[in-house]
Amino acid sequence: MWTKKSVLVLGLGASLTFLGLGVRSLALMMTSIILLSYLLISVFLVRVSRVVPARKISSEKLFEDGDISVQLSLHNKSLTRTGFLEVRDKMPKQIDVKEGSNYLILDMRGGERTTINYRLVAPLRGIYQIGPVNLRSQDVYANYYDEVSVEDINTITVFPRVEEVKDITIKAKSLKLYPGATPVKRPGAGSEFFLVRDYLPGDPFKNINWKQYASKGRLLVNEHEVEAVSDVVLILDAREFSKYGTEANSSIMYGARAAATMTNFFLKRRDSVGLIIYGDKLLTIKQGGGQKQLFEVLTALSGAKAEGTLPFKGVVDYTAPFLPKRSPIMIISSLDGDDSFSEGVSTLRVLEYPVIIICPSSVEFEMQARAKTRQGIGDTLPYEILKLERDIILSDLRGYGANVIDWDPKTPLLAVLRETKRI
Amino acid sequence: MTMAPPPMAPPAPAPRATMPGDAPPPPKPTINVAAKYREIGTIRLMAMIFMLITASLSIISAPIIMAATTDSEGVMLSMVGIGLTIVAVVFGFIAIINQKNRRLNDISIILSLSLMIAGVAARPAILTLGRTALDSTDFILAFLFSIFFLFYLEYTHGVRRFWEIGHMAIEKDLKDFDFGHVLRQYITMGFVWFVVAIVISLVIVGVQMALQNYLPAQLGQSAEMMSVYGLAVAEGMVFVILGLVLSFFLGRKDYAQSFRAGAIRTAPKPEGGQAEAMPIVARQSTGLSATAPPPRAQ
Repeated sequence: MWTKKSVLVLGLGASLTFLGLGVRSLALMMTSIILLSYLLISVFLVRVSRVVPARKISSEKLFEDGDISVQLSLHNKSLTRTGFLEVRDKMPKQIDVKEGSNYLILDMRGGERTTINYRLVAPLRGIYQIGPVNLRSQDVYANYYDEVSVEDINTITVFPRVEEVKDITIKAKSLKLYPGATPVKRPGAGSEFFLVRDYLPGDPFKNINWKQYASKGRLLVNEHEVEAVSDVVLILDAREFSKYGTEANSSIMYGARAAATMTNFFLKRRDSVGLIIYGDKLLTIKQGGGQKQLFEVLTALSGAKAEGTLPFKGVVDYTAPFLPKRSPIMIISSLDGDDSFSEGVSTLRVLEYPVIIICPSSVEFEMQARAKTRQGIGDTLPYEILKLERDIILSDLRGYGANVIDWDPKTPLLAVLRETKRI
Repeated sequence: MTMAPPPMAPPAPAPRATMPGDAPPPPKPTINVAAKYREIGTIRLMAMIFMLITASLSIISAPIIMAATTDSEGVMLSMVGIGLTIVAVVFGFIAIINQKNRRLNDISIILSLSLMIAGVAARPAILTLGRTALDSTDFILAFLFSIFFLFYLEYTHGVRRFWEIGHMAIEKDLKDFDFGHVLRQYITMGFVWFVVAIVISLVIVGVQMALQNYLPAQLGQSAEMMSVYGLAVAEGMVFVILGLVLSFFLGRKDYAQSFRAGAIRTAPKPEGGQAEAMPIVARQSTGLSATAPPPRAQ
């Protein structure tokens, strides 16, 4: 391939021939000859690279703001030198280089091996590809280049950030029979004291409260509170409306973090967590518990892209028959561009599902994004109207009996989740 | 693939607080590329030397021409040529010294080269038909000018090229990034290949001489063949033949490569990018149920 420089030199060389003839200048003729000879030489100095790259990364999975180290080994399998070789390990714009560089210019001898080490930091969740490796060999004068793209690709999954939550007082009204960590305000097998009642024939002796017997003169037994497993279903809105704002500050990004944090909390509490992501298609993850479920949910949240316009009512109609009975449904949505949302929430309420809606404010995201531009926010009246419309939708949803948390992006996630205590 | 538990979540980063009364951020350190990569300083010095030699050769030829011409127009043109060369030198210095302003650097390089050529072109047309172009003084001056002009062009561009890379390495604090060997290779091998280019140019001059000797005297010893026109004919002959040969070989290679590339059939990639690819990976290699229908539907 010709570089800009070689094209200019060719143009100069050709025009000097005519100019030299025109003004009958021997100096210009000689200059044109030497420039064209110089270009001719350069053609033969470009060597097709026979460099074989191999990449090793320290981890394929990480959380937001986490970093990984990359080791890119290069082996020149040719017996001759590479000439000027530029190596660039391609990476998406969402990934930053923290240490070292993914670019190098070098001149490798025949059979030589070398390594490029660098560290990447991934500030935003997503599934990204590192690679391919672009090798560009140039002649010594940078007149021509030959580029080879080696399809050595690593996929890294960046999970949304998980924050430590102390308490979210959400649980299902009907619990499963399996023992868990959620106290259900019902006497039975458990570890926490619940009440004292009269002795009934058949009660084990070890449960008799002997102190009470000494003071009251009748047999009383201790009862413990049942701790059971609860099902929680999270629904994340990943429609195209959820990308209002910037890539880092949008409702899908905040929603994914909230969903990840809540999943982590509920799973630690030994609850069962299911996930539904809807956008251009419906993605469901069956309720489950443990580390495997956390991994599965986080992977799905990492891959969620703001696309499509699937209506919420359709999602509810399709998934409602399979949702665990009377389990809390937590919906994370900016509520934009979906007239069927209220209808969907109404259906869930009719089916006796406790509904909690966390609404990241897309209006605020957009205003933040606009404030960073050169024009600034400008006229705020349209935003005031949007906010008013949003408030009307929120009160409408509250009217259906849903618990609605309005999430201003300036409010930290933990403060938002703390509001669930009031529910 | 085994199911690996996810790594520990990193702690949430503390917000960057800028409180009133905080110390102002330290000023940006100045980047001295030439100090870190001494070879760039050498290339810069060489570019300056070659520019001055080129300009000197251009100016030196003026008195020779002025001595050969008597009319005032010729003298005036020579003076214009000298003036243009001096301006070219000024722009050349700007191009070599200024590396921070890229646009100014681009303009300076182009202006300097153009004015240097204009300075030579402004000479009076004394090589009239009938006078041989291979007069030894003219030839030596012209040949030296062309060589040093090429050096000047290449090294001025070289300074810019390597300065940008060096600047990037220092700015990003790339401690392991050492391209000193590349610079040394540029200085040494650059010269070697320059010699080859000069030899090719001499071959073209040789072709002109051969044409003069071996063509019938009516054509070979004609006024045209003895002047710059003869040189142009030789140049055209050599480069057209080389161009044809190169296009034949390079074209064949490209064709063979494209044919081979077309013969390889690879599996189609998922169209939807990451979101599409994710469930496939999940199902096939991890056994996850990310693509599974809702539980009771099974």
